[in-house]
Amino acid sequence: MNDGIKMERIGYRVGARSLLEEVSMSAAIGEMVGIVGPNGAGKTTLLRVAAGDLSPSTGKATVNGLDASSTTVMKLSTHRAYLGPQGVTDNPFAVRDVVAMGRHPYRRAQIAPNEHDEIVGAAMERTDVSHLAHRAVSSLSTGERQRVGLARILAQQTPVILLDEPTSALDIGHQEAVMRLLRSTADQGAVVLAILHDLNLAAAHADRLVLLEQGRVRVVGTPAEVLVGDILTDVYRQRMRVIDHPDRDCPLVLTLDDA
Amino acid sequence: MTAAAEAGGAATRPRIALVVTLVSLIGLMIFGMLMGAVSIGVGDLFHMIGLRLGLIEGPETLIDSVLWAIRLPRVLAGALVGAGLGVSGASLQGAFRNHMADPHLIGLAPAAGLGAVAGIALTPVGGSPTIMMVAAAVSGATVALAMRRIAQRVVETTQFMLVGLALGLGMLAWLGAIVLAWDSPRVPTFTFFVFGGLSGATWAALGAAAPLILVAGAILVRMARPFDLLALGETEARHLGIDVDRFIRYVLIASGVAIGGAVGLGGAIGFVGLVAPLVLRRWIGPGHRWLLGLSAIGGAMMVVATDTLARTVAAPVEIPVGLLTAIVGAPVFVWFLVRAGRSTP
Repeated sequence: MNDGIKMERIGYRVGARSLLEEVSMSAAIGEMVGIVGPNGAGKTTLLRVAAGDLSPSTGKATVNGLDASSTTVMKLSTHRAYLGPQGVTDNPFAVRDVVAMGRHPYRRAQIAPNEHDEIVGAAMERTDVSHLAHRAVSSLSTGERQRVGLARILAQQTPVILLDEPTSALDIGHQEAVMRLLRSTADQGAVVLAILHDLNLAAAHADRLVLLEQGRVRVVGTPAEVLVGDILTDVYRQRMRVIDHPDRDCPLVLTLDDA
Repeated sequence: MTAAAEAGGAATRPRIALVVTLVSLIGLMIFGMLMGAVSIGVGDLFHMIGLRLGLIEGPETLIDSVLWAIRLPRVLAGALVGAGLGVSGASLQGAFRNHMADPHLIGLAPAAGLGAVAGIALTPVGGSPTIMMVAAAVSGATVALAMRRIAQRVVETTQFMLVGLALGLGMLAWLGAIVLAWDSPRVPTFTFFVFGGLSGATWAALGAAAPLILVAGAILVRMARPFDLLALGETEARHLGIDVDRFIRYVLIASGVAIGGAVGLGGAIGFVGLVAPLVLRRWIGPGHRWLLGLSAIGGAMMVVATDTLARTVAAPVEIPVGLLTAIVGAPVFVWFLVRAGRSTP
């Protein structure tokens, strides 16, 4: 069972400043939804509301049927995983130990130790970090840390996966690989909600996009509906043009010089 | 990268460390019991044990009484104080995610000292050491919780350490003022609250401090897993199902209680909570499953060894044991800071 993510009229304010206003969106089982928008649009705030880290001032966020802000952290940990932009913070543990920490939510479940090991091993395989298993995280590059973080949340095996710029430090090959990986995870019955900075990566891989602008939803829809030259030019204050991708069945966003 | 992060002997290394430290601790404790003004041999030790267990019949000799009434409680007190400081040091470092968070450097030992003095004031003349120990524990735990509030407000590690240091020095000044003004034989000397000392280690004092240190220590050692997850960050630990605020609160209360017991019994013996985890982390790696317990054993080794040295090296004069731990610990701390400073960009 996976009820996905439902955000209903979310408002979030800090003091007099409103970071999110009337944001409604949803993501269903099998879907990969991208959150896009310029800096300061409220993308991370929205994702953290979904994660249960921030309680919305108004509205309600549910994750797999659970109220994100009132459910215990213990219970939430088997329903949603969250990957921050830096993947794994600097720490002295070995890569494999960090990925295995993703199994912590299931420590009381009736699961054989070798099953945990297999899940951890498979997660590392899928994110291409198996060869780093015994390296200390502190010795890794930023991109490697991002993939280790991804392996950790895959090992957490939650129906809802939240990612804040999961590809920001990756080379193009790994970017595509990670997006395909998230796609296949969604296809297997998960819900993936990811903040994506690269609009073309979002166009090629996401089912739907939520474009945020100053704490409000500007457009929600398929990449073709959201990635429209006039809208993007307005939201990002940068001239843009959108054409058909010559090879893939998706839009291709191009930046232009000022007219 | 530390050698421990490599897989090689990582699995067996903690077990080796456990055996080595335990054997060393027992050896140091026996050695400590044999050393002193009255010369005692291993045979005398067995005689005393046999007599106490009722295995040997006969009158108690002077040596038996020295061993039973003076040496044994003193060595046990050293081990207990060191264990309390070691395990609370490792725990504070985990809770604050700061390997420099030593019970003394962040002001918890002076807090426990103030509590102990308040406890003495509340105790009827000739009263129990328990009240003093419990007051020290309550005070230590309270200031530990206050330091958490401070850590949540200041982001910089340096700032946090300076706040702890200033707070500690401020409390130490009050402690000094009270102890000097009161000038009562019921109150330990100011030196006791600055550099410690185990000369007051009686069975009664031991009996009051032991439950505090042992129970708090056992609670901390059992919390290894959340400590590991916390090393990833508070947010990450929360996402993995740890109620971070509650966990840290428990850790700080337990650490404060252990420190209270340790300070009540042995005074302020500095650098043990810093050096023991520091050395062990380099030996066995960052995982807390072994680190917490081993830090207790390592701390016990350090205090038993330095206390033996403190009371024999310039006999009949006894050097405050905290002087010796500081002489060893301060350079280690400086080395650690310089090294850490070099590796950060």
